[in-house]
Amino acid sequence: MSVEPTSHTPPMPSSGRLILTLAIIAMLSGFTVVLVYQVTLDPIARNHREALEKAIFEVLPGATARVNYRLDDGGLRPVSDRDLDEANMFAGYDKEGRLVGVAFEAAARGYADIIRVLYGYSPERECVIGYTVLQSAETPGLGDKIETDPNFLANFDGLDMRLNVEQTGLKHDIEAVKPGAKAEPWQIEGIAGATVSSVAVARALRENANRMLPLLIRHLDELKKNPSPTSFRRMEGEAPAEPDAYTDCLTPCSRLGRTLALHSLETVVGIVEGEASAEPDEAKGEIV
Amino acid sequence: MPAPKHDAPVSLDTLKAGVWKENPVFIMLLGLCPALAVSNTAVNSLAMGLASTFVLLGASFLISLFRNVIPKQVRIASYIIIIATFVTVVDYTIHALSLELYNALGAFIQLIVVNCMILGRCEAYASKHRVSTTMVNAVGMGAGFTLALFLVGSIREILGFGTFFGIPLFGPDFQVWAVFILPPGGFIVLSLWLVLFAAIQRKRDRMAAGKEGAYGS
Repeated sequence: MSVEPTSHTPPMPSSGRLILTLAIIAMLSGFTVVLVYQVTLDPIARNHREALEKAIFEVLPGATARVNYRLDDGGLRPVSDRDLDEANMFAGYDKEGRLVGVAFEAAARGYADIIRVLYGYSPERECVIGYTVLQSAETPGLGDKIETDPNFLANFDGLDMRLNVEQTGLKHDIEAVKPGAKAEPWQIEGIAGATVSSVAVARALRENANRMLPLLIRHLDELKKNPSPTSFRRMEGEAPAEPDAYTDCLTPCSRLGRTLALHSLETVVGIVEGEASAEPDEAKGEIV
Repeated sequence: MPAPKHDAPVSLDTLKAGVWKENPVFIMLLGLCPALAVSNTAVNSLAMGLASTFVLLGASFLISLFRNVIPKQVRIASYIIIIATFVTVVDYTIHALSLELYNALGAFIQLIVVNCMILGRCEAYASKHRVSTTMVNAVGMGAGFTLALFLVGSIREILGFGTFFGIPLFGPDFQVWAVFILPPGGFIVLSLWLVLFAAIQRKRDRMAAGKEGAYGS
């Protein structure tokens, strides 16, 4: 750039020069961000895949192989690992190829941010057989007990998820109750000091089960006779579907936009635009 | 503070300024928002301090390098874009390196962009000094920021969780002292450190006045 160093002298530079400077900086910034995005894309996807795989086998005890599925009103469709973001259901099979259970990803707004959990459902026993937290930003020491508290985790071993007679939803809705008040197998005993987080987990499970289990029932036989679940990669090249509502796949531009929006929050109070206005309101207390 | 004399006194003072005399958190009270938000464990504090330091170094370098090219009228906008770019790079890098660390720090990494220490140093120092001086100063500032976060974070972790770097200190019966983990604890611990630093500063000022400036600082 061959511009005279006039910046420290009083006369105002032409608007063209101002625009040019900002444009060049913005272009370089965009280039850098996209470059880093491209470089880190694979490692990030791999990290997520590994974490998810670990979680799936954790919530489906006994499973040694999995197949990803997309289950919606349109039907049941296998999804390759490459399009993992589209999957909303993971079937786990044991060594003999028998269906152990199905893992669903459920999400609900917690105290700090969206809580994403993965739970394993056994169609045979009609109950939850495993639970783990995929993502949470709950308060350390209080809300994050939804990941660690043994009493809370014990709720999910055999949590009742029977369907009603019409098979349109749960017979008994999953609900969170006060600590020590659990009387029914479909109740989740909350954590003292983390009511919002425990209720959010219960809501996530309830909403997800009410939506997914009636669909699952219709396709259960299909899942059970899955021919060779050990090789998940054979489904590559499937037609893509619309992305899952809960996937957190931010484009580089939106990430930069978010950081910029955050900055404007702090520096230019009042001129807040884009995603910053969608920041969650966290005014509620978290104490029972 | 013991100050070993080196051959390059200018650079040493430039470096030291950020750590002690102009410590961004304890003296200048800059960057308090992230300092309070993430400093509930020693590890989080260190990671946040290092990530902020990286952003500070990168942004200071570029801004100092192009200080004569960027017109004054659009400097703030330029600084913000540069800082936001570095924050985004850090964000992606940590995400790629370790999902665990990213989940622990995730939201706060993006908050580095609102750290007024970084914008403040860019505006007040990097835009007016040579690259070499700027970088030395930025290292000092980054170290000072990291140190401050670490001091706050250690106390909060010890009192709140009863651990230090995750190692339990008080045995299994320790009851989590929630106030120190939550934001109020950040304010309490930070204010105690501020009192301590102010007291030390005052004592040193008095001693310096008594001895007619025997101390270099």
